[in-house]
Amino acid sequence: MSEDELQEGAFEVIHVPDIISERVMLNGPNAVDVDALDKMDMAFVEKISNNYLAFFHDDLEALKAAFSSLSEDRQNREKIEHLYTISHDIKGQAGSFGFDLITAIADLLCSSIENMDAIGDKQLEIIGFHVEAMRIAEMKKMKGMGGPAGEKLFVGLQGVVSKVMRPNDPSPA
Amino acid sequence: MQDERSFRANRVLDILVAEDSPIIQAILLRFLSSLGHRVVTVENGREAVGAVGAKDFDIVLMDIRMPEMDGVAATRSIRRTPTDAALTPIIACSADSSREKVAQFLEAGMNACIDKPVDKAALLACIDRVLGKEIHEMLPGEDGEKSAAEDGAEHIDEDDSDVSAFLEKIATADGD
Repeated sequence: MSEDELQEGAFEVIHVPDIISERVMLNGPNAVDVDALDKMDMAFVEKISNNYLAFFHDDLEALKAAFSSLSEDRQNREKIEHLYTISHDIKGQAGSFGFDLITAIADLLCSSIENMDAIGDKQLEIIGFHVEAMRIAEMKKMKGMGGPAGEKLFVGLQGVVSKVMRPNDPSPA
Repeated sequence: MQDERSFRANRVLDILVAEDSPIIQAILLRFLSSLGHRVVTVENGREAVGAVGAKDFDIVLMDIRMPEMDGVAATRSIRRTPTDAALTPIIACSADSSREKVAQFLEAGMNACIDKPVDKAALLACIDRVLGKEIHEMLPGEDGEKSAAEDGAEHIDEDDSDVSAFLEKIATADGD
């Protein structure tokens, strides 16, 4: 597959193998009840759409708890992964409601800690800065990139990440 | 996922959304349902495999990081199904769409990948491209434009003392 195709997410022809090693569960205890799956609480949908920050607050609290737990056990790969997962979820959600700055901070955190097996003093401090930056974005209800203050916050955070977490990267523009 | 009134679909699709985040589930359900599509949601890859085997879907929107079975494993499993269900188009929805990851998704049998946060226009264009049909069109109406402008507006707080204090704090960090 060429790079252009990859970039454009081109349609790929699928060759179904002849050997069936895994069967879809249509019956039995693990079968899916499609009718039941078809139901969804629309009130919940509306509530989220109208007040995303309330849901984000819970995620931020979870992130703080994960950070606190990690700070006491910095070589625990599972705890790093847990923190990554929460940040990854925030990254995927916040921008959908217009909170692009929160998504950007979460993205920066994800890329900073991805594949890390242990966290040093400096790295821990920087992770804490991400949590703090998200808290400010929440407190200020910063939509989009948060205007000039949000831009300053993000550029500052990017700078310190480049300096501490990825010292070999070029400085941000 | 804003500006819902500015799109419409000329055909109803049966769409499976495999996503463990209730928030992402909700916004995809709300958006796609508003276009008239019939949407089923499941929370993990194993349920997605079961749902595709039990019901015909026009397309699957597949999250990658899910409990029990991730989106890549679920896709592989669907592609091995001994029925036409194996051919169901699958779009990866991932917050990590690096070149390496996208290659992994396509190798597993996914047809395309879309970034999270999901951009509405990009999602619809991706669905149309994967299905090879022009199903969705944008309606640049007054309501839609107004909605987009309101939703996308940046909140600008004149008091940036918290940000200034934060910047002073992080300025003391160094890489030495």
